[in-house]
Amino acid sequence: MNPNYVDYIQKKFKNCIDLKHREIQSEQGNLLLIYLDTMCDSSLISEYIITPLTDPRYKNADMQKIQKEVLTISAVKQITKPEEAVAKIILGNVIILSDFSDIVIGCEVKNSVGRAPDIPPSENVVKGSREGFSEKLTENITLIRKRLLTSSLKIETLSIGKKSRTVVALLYMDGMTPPKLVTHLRNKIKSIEKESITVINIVAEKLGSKGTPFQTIGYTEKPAVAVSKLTEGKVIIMLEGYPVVLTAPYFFVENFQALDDYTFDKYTGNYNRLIRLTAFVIALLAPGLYIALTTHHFSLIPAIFVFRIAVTRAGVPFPIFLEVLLMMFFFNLLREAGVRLPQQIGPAISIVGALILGDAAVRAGLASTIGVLLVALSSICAFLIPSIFGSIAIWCNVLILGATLLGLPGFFVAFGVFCAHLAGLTTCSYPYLYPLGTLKTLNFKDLLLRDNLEDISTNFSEDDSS
Amino acid sequence: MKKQFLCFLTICTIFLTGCYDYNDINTVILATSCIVDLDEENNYVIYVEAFHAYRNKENNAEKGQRLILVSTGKTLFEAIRIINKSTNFKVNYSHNKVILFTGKAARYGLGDFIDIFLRSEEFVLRSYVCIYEGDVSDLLNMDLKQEEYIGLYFKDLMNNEVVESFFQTTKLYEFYNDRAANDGTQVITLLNIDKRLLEEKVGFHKAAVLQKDKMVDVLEKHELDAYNYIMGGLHSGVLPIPHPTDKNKYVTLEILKHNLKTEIKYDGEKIKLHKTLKLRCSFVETQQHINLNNSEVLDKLDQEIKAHVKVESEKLFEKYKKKNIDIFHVTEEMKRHYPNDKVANPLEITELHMEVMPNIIGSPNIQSFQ
Repeated sequence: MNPNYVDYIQKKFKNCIDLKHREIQSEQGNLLLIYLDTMCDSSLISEYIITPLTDPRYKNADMQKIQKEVLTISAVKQITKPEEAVAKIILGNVIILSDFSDIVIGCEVKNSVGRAPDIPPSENVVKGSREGFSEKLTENITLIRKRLLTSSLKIETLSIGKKSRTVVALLYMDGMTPPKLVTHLRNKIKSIEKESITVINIVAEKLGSKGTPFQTIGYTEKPAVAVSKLTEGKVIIMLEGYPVVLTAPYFFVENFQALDDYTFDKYTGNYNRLIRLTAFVIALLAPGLYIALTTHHFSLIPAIFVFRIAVTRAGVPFPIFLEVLLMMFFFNLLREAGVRLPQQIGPAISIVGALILGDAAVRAGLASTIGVLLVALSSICAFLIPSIFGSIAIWCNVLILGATLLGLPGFFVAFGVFCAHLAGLTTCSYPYLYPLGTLKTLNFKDLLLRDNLEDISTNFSEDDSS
Repeated sequence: MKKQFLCFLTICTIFLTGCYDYNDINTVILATSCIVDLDEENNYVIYVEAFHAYRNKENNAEKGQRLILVSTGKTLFEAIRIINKSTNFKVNYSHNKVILFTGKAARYGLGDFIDIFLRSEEFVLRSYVCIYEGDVSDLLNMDLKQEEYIGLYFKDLMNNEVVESFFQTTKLYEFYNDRAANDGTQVITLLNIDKRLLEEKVGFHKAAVLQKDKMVDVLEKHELDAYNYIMGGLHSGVLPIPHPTDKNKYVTLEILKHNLKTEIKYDGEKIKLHKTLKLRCSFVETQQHINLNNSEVLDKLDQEIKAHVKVESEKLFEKYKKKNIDIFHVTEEMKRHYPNDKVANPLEITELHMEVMPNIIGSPNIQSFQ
């Protein structure tokens, strides 16, 4: 038995109770199988490794013959270094050592413990595909492969996390994805120096823009969406153990696009997209505009409505801006509670929320009915674009501050700052508002509205001369 | 240090009373109409009708109430400022819908107190301006069943499609424009209370003639129609014409559309004011059977319309020519068309030439019955 390997492996896996050894007697000498039983499928080991090795026909087979003829498992590879042996064991390999040869063999027998592909809870569709990614990288790649039956689909794997050694896969379409984009992403991922990758956001934060609540790297749980991004020339980044994949680059307009926009006819799809755009405008601007009008510019509101607002607010002791902020805080408490609570008691929060936000706050004199209506409307609208919910909440407060201090001039200044911030963002070195920033690339026919599916530009970079 | 200073400044601005113009909507008293009057000693009296939101102590519910605030001062601004001394919140005039000047104030002269409405930031230029002939307390105590607030009632009344069609209302900015442009002569709405009805109603029936900011005359209802023929101010109207075959009966035509062209010619001695009025009328009523297929009848109707409009217009023109009140803006027209000719009193040497071109229709599809 090669003592270098055995000692090294035992040293590395000291205090690991799942490290198993199995000795097998042959005419040539002893064989030693080393593996982690938590990472390997024991039935595969029994059926495709131990059974052939104990077959009397191969009692005198040497290591060369064992590798080429005896083992019936598909993935068999020679190991050259003890470090490689350790890495292979971690990945679910059985290492076969012998006391009659220096050859060391590794056989891949990973177990398939995990969830089967399921309907993703965060991306509901009416007519589109319901299949979602799972935590297994190979299965996730399979889900992409079976939708893109072409050799142009390239898959590169990297390993990040000094300790966790998490496998990252970069998927892109050769000939469609700009090579500079792949190089940019590959280098960025390689530069991650975390000890272990505990959340996929470590990668997303490394790739995205800093100092903004807007997400400049997209994510999806649906293979159908991931495939459409690939065919647009974008890159998909997958991590072992995560049912979410990252898409890069990710542009602002993509926040308003949904799979159902393309599965319905273009008129219905566009109508729904317009609703989302309107909802974004309402969610972002309505609270600030309401404060500016009701505290600085009464004359711009119709008289009857002014009287009604004044009456509903007569019993509220707080200033309007404080009332709006208070109600938004209440709402965020409920939202957070709704996310954290187990699904079984989630509806209870809705009842409490409806009572607090809808009635009790008004009766207690904490808020006016118009204030409640406004915050509810703004929040519902923000739910229509979940990918930028947090960004809307933050920027909404900036607009409220501007409107409170200076009325409409302050509101417009804050809105100008918002637009400047948005225009200054980049995603993988592309402008975040792309293609809105460049006139010559406005032939996408799928920005605020979409055209016929066959006329839509399929490659985001096809007009990119840079 | 800079950041700390910025935070301190922001906190102070939000939580302490600053110079910024933050006012919660429920912490102001919203004026809906202002009435300007003079007392016996010629002090300025301002009546403000306002809306006030408050929490009712009886049932602990929010309510809105109508307030009438009165104040007197040596100047109008002083009177307006004094009003705030008797109110828990500041009176805000950004929702003031109408500014009424009493007949007494208008005869005294509006020049002394109209400056404040232009100069003050709170008064909006889209408020209507009217003259009210009558007792102010009668108006303020009137039980308006259609609307609680006089200001809102007048605003709706002036936006009423029918009212708009036969009389041009005046907004504050139009009042200032006319005052500056038309040699200081203008015609604005005159309100009065109609006591003939079972319940008192307030409305527009006449118009006040202002010259150099003073009310000098009143245009009666029929004169107002003639004034509109000459000045083209009407959007629609009613023409009661004698029946073509029965002199004791009438037919009624409704003016649907009109088009007025004005031409002024000055030959060194006389000014000829040519007015070409195209009227599109709908035949709406007859008191006696009429054969509208008869071309003679239609010709007669045409003649009657022309005669009616011409006679009424020329009568009004001559009346004001004699009074030497240029409500027809002849002086302004002369200035524009003959800027180099200085005529001392253009109205005095002006002749009105009224040409009327009626077009009678019976239904949307049949025109003129020719």
